[in-house]
Amino acid sequence: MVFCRSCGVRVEPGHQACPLCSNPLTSADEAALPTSQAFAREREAVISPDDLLRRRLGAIALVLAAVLVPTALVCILIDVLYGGSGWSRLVIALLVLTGGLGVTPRLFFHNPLVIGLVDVALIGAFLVAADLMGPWHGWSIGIGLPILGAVALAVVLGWLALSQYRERTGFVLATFLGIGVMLCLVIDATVSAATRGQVELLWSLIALATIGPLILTAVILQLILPASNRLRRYLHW
Amino acid sequence: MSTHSSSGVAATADGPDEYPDWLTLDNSAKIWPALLSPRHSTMFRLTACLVEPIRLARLQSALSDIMGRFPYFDVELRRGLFWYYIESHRATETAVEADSVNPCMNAALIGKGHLPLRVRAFNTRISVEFSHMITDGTGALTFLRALVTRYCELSGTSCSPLEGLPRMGEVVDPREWEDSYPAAIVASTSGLPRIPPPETAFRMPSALLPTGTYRVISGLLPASEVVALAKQQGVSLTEYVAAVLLYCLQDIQERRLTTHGRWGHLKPIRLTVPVNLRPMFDSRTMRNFFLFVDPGIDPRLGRYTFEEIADQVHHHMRFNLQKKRMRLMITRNVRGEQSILNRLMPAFVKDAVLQVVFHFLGDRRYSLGLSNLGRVQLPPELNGAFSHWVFTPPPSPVSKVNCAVLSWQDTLCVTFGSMARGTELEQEFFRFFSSKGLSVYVESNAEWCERETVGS
Repeated sequence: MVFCRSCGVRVEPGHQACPLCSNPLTSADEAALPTSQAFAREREAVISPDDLLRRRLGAIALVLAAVLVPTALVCILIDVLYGGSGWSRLVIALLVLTGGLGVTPRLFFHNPLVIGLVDVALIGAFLVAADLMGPWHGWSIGIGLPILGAVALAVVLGWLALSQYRERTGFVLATFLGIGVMLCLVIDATVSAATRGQVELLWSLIALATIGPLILTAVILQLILPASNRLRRYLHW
Repeated sequence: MSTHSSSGVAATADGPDEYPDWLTLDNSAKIWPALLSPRHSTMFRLTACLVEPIRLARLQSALSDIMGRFPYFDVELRRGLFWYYIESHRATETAVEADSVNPCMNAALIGKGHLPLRVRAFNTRISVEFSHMITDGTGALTFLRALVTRYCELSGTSCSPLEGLPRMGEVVDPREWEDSYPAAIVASTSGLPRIPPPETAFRMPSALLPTGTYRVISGLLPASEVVALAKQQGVSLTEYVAAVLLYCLQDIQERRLTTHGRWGHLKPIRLTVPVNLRPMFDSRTMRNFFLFVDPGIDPRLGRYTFEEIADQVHHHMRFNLQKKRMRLMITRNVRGEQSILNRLMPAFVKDAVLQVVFHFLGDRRYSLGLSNLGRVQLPPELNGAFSHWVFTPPPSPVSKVNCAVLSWQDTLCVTFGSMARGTELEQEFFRFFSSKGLSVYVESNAEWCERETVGS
């Protein structure tokens, strides 16, 4: 019989570690039997969280398709019957975006980075399609795509921060604040270039001045965190 | 929509005593179909551990012999337009299955060909897993007692009759498949006192195990010594175990508060203890017939000593285990089921509503479930045939840990079924008894149940 010195209990033969405290067990006194006499060891088919998520997303995608496809058909019919001005194409692009965003990439990809980038690409495709079909020619190239490029970069940086520094709250916080500032700068520059013909940074400089010190504080906090248990406790997530 | 006859039994052409083709779910079973998920299987398990290895062919024969005595377990669960219901199962014979490392999990329960009952065998153990939708612990224990008695008879042991132990070939009493809840309500026209819902309770702070895994840790203790400890404290065995659990949870919560500094705050600690209502209402039903009492402590008022907890649990249980109070709770539940609005709601809407209701009024109000089925009674000829019996509680992803107790002769088996990654409570609980000088023997699937699923 194997005895756990930490818990003071006898443990069923076949265990390498105590089921209660996970301390390694030594069977110096008596030889342990090779297998458990209480539980079958064969693992039955277990639904992994990924499979479960995919199954649920599949169901959501089906429901979305069941709603969106008839809506698109009705729009096309109305558009054709009442003059055929082509507005239904814009609606269809919006419906494709609604169906694809978030749900569909998750059915095919595991990596959150890829999922995020596919979502950004879908939005980009929608913007270009809307631009080509609508009366506002050219704005998607001038404003939409640069901003989307910045969003894609933000996705990559966010993913890197979460995968590399998940436990380091300060670094993650600094990254996200930095992403916010970067997006402000890009949007400000792009909009001013498109509307006034030259790059002028206005309100984004205020954002930079406000958020910059916070970024610095987050980095400093992260550097001194390992030395302070109390801070680690307050900032854990 | 004739699913709400007061007896809960559908009418048949063959007469009132003939087992009907279908039954409505009983009052307490009605919530379970809405909560079904890979983590919330509603299955619990009873295991008889024999002293000799199981012979599968003999077990299958015993099972075939006694299934006719339990027609209300040879059923399938189906989904109707307004409610789920139980349909007599005639298509395939219930077969003995190989056991799994994750008990009570991975069960498809609703629909044609899916059974809410599994009989499993491994090594020296015969296990039955029941969904709470068809019966409670007492009904399941009666079934397993009948099954192992028949198995031992086929092995050559003659067994003397025992009161309350169904035997093969007996006529099935119609009272065994009745829904006993509606018969126990109070017909008051003057209104009834309200029962305020309890506050959200402290629950084990731990991440969940991967979906499909369920860790079971059983501790075998000398029953007579635990009873002696309980007597010394002036409480019953269930009350003593409840007090130990509350004491351990109080320690865990305090430790957590120390770790989290001012971010943490104390919450009430409350157990949910099912009570068998059959003796109280003279019922012979084999379907669900139980209610909960909820002994607990409120550490916001200060730290409790073990003696204070035992005292509080004892008085709470005595106060709540009155027939009139039980009637009040049954009436509230049955009236809710019978309201016109609830009856007219389609099943899929009910599912959504019940999920929301359960979220706010269900397991989050309780820290832990503690179920004690008492002592297993079998014919005296079988005294030497078993080493011990195990009762595994149903999994709950909300309270994460549940505890169940069952005793056979002088072996008390306390089983923790857990979906939490940590084993803090189990550790504290069994250390409490080993520190009292009791010999504790631990069995578990802890090392194997999640080995291949970690990180998935």
